[in-house]
Amino acid sequence: MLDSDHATLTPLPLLRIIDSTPVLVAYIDAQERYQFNNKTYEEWFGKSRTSLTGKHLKTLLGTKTYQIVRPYVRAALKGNKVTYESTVPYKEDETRDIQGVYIPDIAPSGKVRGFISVVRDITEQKRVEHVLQFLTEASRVLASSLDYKTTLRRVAHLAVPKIADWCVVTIAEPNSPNEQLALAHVDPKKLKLARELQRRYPSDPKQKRGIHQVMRTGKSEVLNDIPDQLLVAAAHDAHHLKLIRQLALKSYMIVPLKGTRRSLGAITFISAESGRKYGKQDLLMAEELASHAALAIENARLYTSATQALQDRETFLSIASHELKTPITSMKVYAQILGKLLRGNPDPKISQYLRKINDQVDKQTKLIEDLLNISKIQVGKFKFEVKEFDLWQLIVETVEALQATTDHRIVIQGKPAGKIKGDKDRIGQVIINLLTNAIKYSPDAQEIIVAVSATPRQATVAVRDFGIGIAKKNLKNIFNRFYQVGNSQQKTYPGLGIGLYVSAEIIERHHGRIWVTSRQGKGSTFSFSLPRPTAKKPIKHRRK
Amino acid sequence: MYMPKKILVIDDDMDILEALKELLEIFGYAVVATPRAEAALQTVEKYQPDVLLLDVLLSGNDGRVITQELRQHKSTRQLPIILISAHPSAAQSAYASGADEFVAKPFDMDTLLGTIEKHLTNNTSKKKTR
Repeated sequence: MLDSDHATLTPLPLLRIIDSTPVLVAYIDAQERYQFNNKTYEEWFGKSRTSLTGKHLKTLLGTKTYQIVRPYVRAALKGNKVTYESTVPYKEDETRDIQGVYIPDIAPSGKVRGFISVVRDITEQKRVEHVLQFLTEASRVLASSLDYKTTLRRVAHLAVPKIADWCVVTIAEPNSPNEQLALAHVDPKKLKLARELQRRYPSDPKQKRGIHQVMRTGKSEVLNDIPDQLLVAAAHDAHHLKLIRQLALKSYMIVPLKGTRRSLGAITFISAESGRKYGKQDLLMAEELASHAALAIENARLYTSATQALQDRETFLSIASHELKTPITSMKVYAQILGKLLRGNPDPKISQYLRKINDQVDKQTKLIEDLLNISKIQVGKFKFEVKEFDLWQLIVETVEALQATTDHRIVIQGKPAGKIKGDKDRIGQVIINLLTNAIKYSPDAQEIIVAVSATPRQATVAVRDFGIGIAKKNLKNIFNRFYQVGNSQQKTYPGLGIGLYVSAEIIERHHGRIWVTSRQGKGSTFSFSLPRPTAKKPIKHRRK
Repeated sequence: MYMPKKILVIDDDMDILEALKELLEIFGYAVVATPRAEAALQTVEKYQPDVLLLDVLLSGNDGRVITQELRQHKSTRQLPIILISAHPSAAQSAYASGADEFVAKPFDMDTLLGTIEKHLTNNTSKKKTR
């Protein structure tokens, strides 16, 4: 079967097959002269193939292309199979991407008699590759930063000359005129001309085609070939027409940047000197890019407004805390004056009540401080004043101050851990937070233990209570913001639930570590460690 | 003859001003309290206080700026200045402006009185040594 099939194929149909492939096939002898060309050569060069036989490569290809292929020709004639890709001039002012394969024809004696040349036009394939490469790169750029103006400018510059000779990005800002974010072209002289054109002949927003129309309707516009009459129609006057003709615009497409609620702008791609003509495929690519860009713009704007909202809240809370503290300040002064005036009064209730007023004022002050602190943490304004201080001394002072306010016995164990570098007041705040928690969550216990230990690298403080403890499932959330054991319905303990969050933030900002071990019904131990000034590397964080 | 120590209080909140005046008078000080901070130097020169209690955030003024100005003048260079504020975070800049002390609002009576006393004794014993 096969044999009989083969028989019918030779010799004439084989030539027909070679002729009908869209690939340039030729046989070139050792003197670099064509001995055979397939029919495709006729289409490519516009010459009959018989006229090519015996011609030197240089004669047909021209000096420029010959220079490009010469090294590959030499290699093939040395007996090597060569594969290469290159861009060569085509017809008058175009270029083509080609892939060439040269297969040497070697005689039994070992002498190279010539080579078979198979050259494929890969312009379209290259174009798709370029487009994909551009899309990938552009998407990466768009995702790289929240500064969408800069990223869009970079995308416009990426587009030329790979995708377009001109790329224009126009952004519609709410309540302000459109802003031309980028105008890109490889040639600065042409850029100058384009700017001049834009300045002298601004485009009419009422035009039925072009950028304004695309932004109004949200529909893309593509023109495969810009006819001269379009330029004539668009020109304001003869000088204007002369200038636009100088730009030699060939084809264009405009794609809208569509936001969720309104138009965000448009991207314009124009081809000129490259001779590129935009079609359906190009438009799909451009629309794809525009949807990425629109998303990037919206994300960036959302981020900016969210950051601004946090900032506004911080400012508000800062003012509010000041205002809230003002009446508290005079309240506290009067409570203390009363205390002084009523000192020695035989009714023990009086001093007890005054102390309660004082305590409540202090509690209120702390709540206001907590509110402000958490807001500061979120906008990155939580400031530290770093100095060396004695940790042991700080613990002793803090415990003494708190001991006066509680019936629990606070016991300090261990020994001085030396100096620590950090913000003494903030670390003190952490110790107070842990101790007040310990008091709060062990209402039926008598004792709280503060254990201090040290290694050459770090100092560790552990605050242990014998209270209600924390269920295992709650342990991992304990340092999260607004987290309180139990839910809001069954909330039994006062406070905003931010003490541990603030504490964790303080310790981590000191390159330390904070953690908890607990057993429900038995009590909890909250510990933190801080690097000692001699330690070189910070302790690794564990909180996630 | 016993002369009570003089304290000048500048705070734009009238309630706090009044409360502070009451408190300090109970403890035997002669108190001049004013919400007006514009002519702080003249006020200080007029009343010659032994200690100045000065709010940081004043309407249209800043206690830290006033402190800096007072430190420029010979007559007020050594005046003990205690800056007070409801923003504990103002402590660092308060000291940087040349204040002797910073006390956060709401104040603890013993802390405030202790701080005032410390500077009254300092000022009498170490006069003109700054």
